[in-house]
Amino acid sequence: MSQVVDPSATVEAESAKLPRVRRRVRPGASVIAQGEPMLWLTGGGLVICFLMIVTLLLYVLWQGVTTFWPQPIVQVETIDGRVLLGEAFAYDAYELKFSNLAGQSEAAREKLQKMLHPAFHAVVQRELDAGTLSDRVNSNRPMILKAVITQVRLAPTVQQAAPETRAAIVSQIEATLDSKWDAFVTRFAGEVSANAGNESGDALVAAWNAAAAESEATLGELDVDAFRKQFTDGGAAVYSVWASEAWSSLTLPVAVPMRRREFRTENFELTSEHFNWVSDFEIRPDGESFPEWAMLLERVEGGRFYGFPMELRIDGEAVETESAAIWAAFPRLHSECRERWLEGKEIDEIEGGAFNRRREHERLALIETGYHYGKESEEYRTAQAALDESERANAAEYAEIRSRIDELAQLNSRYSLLMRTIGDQQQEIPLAEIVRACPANRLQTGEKCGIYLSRWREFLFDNPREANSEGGVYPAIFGTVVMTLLMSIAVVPFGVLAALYLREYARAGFVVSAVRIAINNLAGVPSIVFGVFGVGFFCYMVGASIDELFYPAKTANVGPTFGTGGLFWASLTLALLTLPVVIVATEEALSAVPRSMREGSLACGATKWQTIRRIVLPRALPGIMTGTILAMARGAGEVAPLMLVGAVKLAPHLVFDLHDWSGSFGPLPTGALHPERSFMHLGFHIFDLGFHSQNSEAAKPMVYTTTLLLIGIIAVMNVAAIWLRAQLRKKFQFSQF
Amino acid sequence: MISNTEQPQSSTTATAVAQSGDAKLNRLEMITRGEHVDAVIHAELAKCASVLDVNDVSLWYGDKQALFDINMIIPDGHVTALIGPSGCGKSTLLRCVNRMNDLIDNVRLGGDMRLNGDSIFSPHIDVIALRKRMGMVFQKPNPFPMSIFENVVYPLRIDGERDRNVLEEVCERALRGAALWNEVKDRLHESGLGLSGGQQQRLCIARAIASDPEVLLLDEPCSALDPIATGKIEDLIDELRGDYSILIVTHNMQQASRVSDFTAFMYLGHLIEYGPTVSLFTNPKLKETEDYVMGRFG
Repeated sequence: MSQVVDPSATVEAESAKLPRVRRRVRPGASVIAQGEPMLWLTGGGLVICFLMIVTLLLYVLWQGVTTFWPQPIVQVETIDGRVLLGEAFAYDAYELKFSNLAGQSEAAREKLQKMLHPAFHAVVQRELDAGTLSDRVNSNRPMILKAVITQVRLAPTVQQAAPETRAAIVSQIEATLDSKWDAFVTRFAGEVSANAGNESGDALVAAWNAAAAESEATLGELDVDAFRKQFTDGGAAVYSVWASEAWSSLTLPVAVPMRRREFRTENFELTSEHFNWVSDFEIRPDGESFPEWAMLLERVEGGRFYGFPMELRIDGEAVETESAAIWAAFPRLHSECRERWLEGKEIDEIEGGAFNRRREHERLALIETGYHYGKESEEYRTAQAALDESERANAAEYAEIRSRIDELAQLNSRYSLLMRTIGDQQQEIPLAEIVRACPANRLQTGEKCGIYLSRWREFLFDNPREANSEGGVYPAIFGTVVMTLLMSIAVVPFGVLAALYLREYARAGFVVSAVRIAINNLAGVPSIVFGVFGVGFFCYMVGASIDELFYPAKTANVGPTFGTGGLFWASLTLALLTLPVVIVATEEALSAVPRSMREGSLACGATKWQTIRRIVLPRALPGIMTGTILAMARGAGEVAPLMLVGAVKLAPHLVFDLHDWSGSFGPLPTGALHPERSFMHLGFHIFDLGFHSQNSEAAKPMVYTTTLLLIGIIAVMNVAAIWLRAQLRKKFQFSQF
Repeated sequence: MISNTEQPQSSTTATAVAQSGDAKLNRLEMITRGEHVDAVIHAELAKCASVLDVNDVSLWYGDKQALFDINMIIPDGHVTALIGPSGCGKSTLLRCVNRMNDLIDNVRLGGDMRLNGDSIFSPHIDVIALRKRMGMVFQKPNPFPMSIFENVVYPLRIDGERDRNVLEEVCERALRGAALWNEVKDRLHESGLGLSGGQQQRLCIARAIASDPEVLLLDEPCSALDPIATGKIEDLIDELRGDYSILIVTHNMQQASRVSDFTAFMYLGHLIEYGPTVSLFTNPKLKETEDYVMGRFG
């Protein structure tokens, strides 16, 4: 009925003429098609990734969590009479060989021989039982040959001979050994089997020693001509040297598994060592004990002290001499001393710090005057006079501050603890110098928990001591967080604006594609490159310009302010580094906003910017937050660029200091924030502790705890940002606006 | 004005063609072959006051022409439906009215439209100001990710209106106008996305009428809704008749016959027949229109 021509009807008619192709499944394709192998492949990939990450995290977690748990103090007596007191710190398994005998004390050697000789016998007996002794010696032929030649070359008579004689001797040895080899092996095998009956292996070792002695005698006594003759003849002397080396080669596979432990035994000022390795064989039978009153003192300086309490002294007089009484009286006196010590430190830091800053300002003002008017001018002389005047007032003020600190120190110096080391040396330690003390072997679980928590508290909230290998990492935590926040503040607006332009305004085309590719490539640039750029551009160009503009006098006379690495430049460098992450994530979030929403807004008569501002951005905000989270996670963990732009081993002042509202010196009023200061960073701290520490062995536990902390901080920041994102999502999508 | 002069002429042509019903080629085949055909426009339209004049409107997507010299008037205060098979250009024509096609690259326009005498296609016109004079409702409900209240007063917000009283008054009037007030008056500050599909679409209509538009453009407003929600929207359109000039695109012939006063039938970018809905559905002048409204093709 319909007169309309259906265009698809003609196509159908044409295709009906073509032969129909039956669909068929190739053999083998069905296995892939069923997806079973792909399931295993993809699942396996996931499991491997998961295992790697979880193993790493669990290892760091375990090491980090257990580090601060108080360990028992072990007393170890060795067979050669050494006595050590300390904590077992590390374990190591190794193989004990005959070569380890050298350098051991007589007692240790005796004990070792008891282990090595039967092992030697076992090796030899195995070869004899299998009938492979000759094969074993033959397989060592190049080694033995080389050793014999070396021995002969080193013989005193040969060394004195003329060079051509020496060369002739070497070639003769080679010829002789070649021709006599089989005979030597047969003779040697006979000697070995003759001595193999003794299960203790002593006979074997005796035969070996005899061969060695004979060899030595031969090499030492014979004159060169006789020597040459001996070799040509293939006489006893050749055999003796050869047999000695053959014995040696036979003992090579002999090894006894052995464990050694590293004990932390510090008392550095007395022993000059922090650690001692002790192998298990060195320990006397029942030589390990846990003395009840062994005490561990963690000190402000000088490392840990292990010993036994002797006297608690006030004004040099012993008030307590019994261990239990000392320990009973210790906590109260100690906490009083520590309070005074902290008070003194606080006075020094806050009041002394403010005083020093004021002096610094006055000094800078003088330098400024000198810079502007010249040092010969009237103004400079006036300023100089004023400074001298205020310096006199300052001296009085400083003396006052100093006297208060000294008074506290004076009070503290009355209290001390006399300790006896395991080596019966005595050491008097002022109570104020002790951070923490405990008789580790007497602690109940509750007390251990107390020590554990107090160590964590110190770690989280205190400054580092002992070249960062002890104490806390508070400045590093602070630096990391402040830097990451500043970085986020810098990177998010720029990244979002760039992405908005790219996605909303720019006309899709070659240029936009090129820019987008460039941004994606930027994400793959090694971070150290950004560090180099940061130091070159931010510090040396922008920073130096700021210095020239605002701090000319200070720069010329004292040094750069912004023209060197600092928090501000580090944050900007990392912002640059993480910019691609934010741009890419924001672009994706923007493109996920449905077209219908934009059209709806535009149809209402909204301009493009109104649409973006009121519809697109709120809708895309969760996605933008995701980008920010990724950027923060990347930025907080980055170390390489920071080493160039401002992270340091030890920063004496925090970048944000409520006691110091001076801002950056001079005209830039930044209040309590000091963006030009260098700062400590957890990532850099890990690097520094692990690889640049004077006592890197002692710093190792701190590496784990710091790593754990860094991971934890990044996790906390991420969780906070994810929570914020969830809130935003709720706010903008599913509930109230 | 133009339609007044042209209309009787095309009307006679149409009658002539309609009378020779067994002509070998009908209009649809001619269009398929790329030949030009004149639209048949019923005489009743000449009596109506127009809100929108469509004069010789052509449109190209790149090289492909999508609209061919469309001439029609949209009567003031009435509901006008655009029907036709998929791809006939009815949505494109609708989107020309508020220049939404500007958002697509490579679109070229010919001819002009006049909204109450003001040119729409002129390159000098302020498109934003133009869009503020009309409201548009889309195929899929597209409430914004904000509260119901903010959704409705969005057109006023972007104009910078901050007076709470004005906003609340407009919100209530628009929601009542969209027959949604009673359902949402207690939860005006909850998200608009929490409403059902039909409610969302009525919310979009409320948003469209909040700024008192001169013409309301509905682009298949019921195609994503279930029959009950569709019924409510149709009732709403019925209520809005007289207050607003409505131009509605629909796939559903029953819907067009139920809600509209005038209906235009389009095919492959050409206007075929345009007249009062009753006569178009019961007594069309062209056999092609009859075939389509009877469901014989399309």
